[in-house]
Amino acid sequence: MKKVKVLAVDDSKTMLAMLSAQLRDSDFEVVATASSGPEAVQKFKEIKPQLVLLDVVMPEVTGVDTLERLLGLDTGACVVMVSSIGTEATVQDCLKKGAKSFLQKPLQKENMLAHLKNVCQEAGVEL
Amino acid sequence: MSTRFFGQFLLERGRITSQQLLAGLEAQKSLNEMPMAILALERGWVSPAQIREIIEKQKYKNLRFEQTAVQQGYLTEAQVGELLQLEKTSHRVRLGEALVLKEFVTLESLDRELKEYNKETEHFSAELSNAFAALAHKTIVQTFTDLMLLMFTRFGKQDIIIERCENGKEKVRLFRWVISQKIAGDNVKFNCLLSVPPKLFLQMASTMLDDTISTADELAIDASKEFVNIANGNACAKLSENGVNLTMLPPEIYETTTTPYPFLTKEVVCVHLASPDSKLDVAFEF
Repeated sequence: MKKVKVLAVDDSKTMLAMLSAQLRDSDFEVVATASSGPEAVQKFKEIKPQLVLLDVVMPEVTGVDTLERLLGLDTGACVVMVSSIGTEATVQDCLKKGAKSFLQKPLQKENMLAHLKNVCQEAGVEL
Repeated sequence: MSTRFFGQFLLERGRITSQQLLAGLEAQKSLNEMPMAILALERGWVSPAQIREIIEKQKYKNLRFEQTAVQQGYLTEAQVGELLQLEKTSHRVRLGEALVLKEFVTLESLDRELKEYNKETEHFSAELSNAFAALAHKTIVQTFTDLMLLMFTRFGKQDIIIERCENGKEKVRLFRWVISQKIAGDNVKFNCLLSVPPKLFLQMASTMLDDTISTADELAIDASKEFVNIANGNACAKLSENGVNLTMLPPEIYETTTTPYPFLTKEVVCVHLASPDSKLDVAFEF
């Protein structure tokens, strides 16, 4: 079965390891990871992922800035923000700027998978 | 665990879409700027469709809600007089009400979801309220401690209890590892500290990495920082529901055997916690 190609972006190695582990044996596959905004933009150009899981709080270039850069490269990019700090203002800001959805850490595998499937279906990403 | 604000809770449960959440938050904001509409709705004097029509007309006429409603024939002058009196003691519109008004959820499903949401948020609140009753910055201390406890108990499967609460930096037990995070908002700025002994530190890293971690290496340090980052981020999310907007910097870690923790302020609140085989502290430098 063809899996959805995922780019995971987080400055925490722990979160990248967790995301890769939680998406294993699912319809999704983490094909690349990035630990900063600029690295994410580079990897996005190289691998053209179908889904980006993007941390909000990162040093230097934030997740929100990175989101804008990714959407500048591809207006149809399917980006889901992932953060522990899911305040109303943060969630609203991310969605307004074009994120397809928002997941709050800690991530629970089953909930995350169900949510990502919904997001992909709505965004027309083939599952 | 539900440490999310209500809109995020509904989004993650698939009850609303991200676009509906966005529209609901915007509607909530506009409605809070015009409580008259809600008061009239509550009294059955106008319908949701009429409110939408009035808001739309307001944009062009630059009139207040009640003036437009009278012009449209939806409210009488007497009703407006009554509403103006009621407005002085009116309540803030919650997101759920805005979502019902936008017809994204029904009243029945809102009631059901609120029950689920409240079930998940009833944890240590009563215990914490008693322990922190006399504190300054009570809401912040209570919420951040609550969420740290939740991370240990729900996510980390650790049994943690509150022992007591004290004031003063000399009361903080500086165990081997201290993870500190700077948090700031409109009227408040503080550091939130978690002080843990080696065994608990490794348990935190093991929880995050879903593996048995026995060495405090770079990955274990990264994992324990992320543990604290999640707990504190969730506390910020929870407080945002009450209009408290906080932001955080990435956590910093101190191994106190080599780097003493540099207390920066005099006002320190310390909450002593304990697991069956370990002690730990959460402290706040205001």
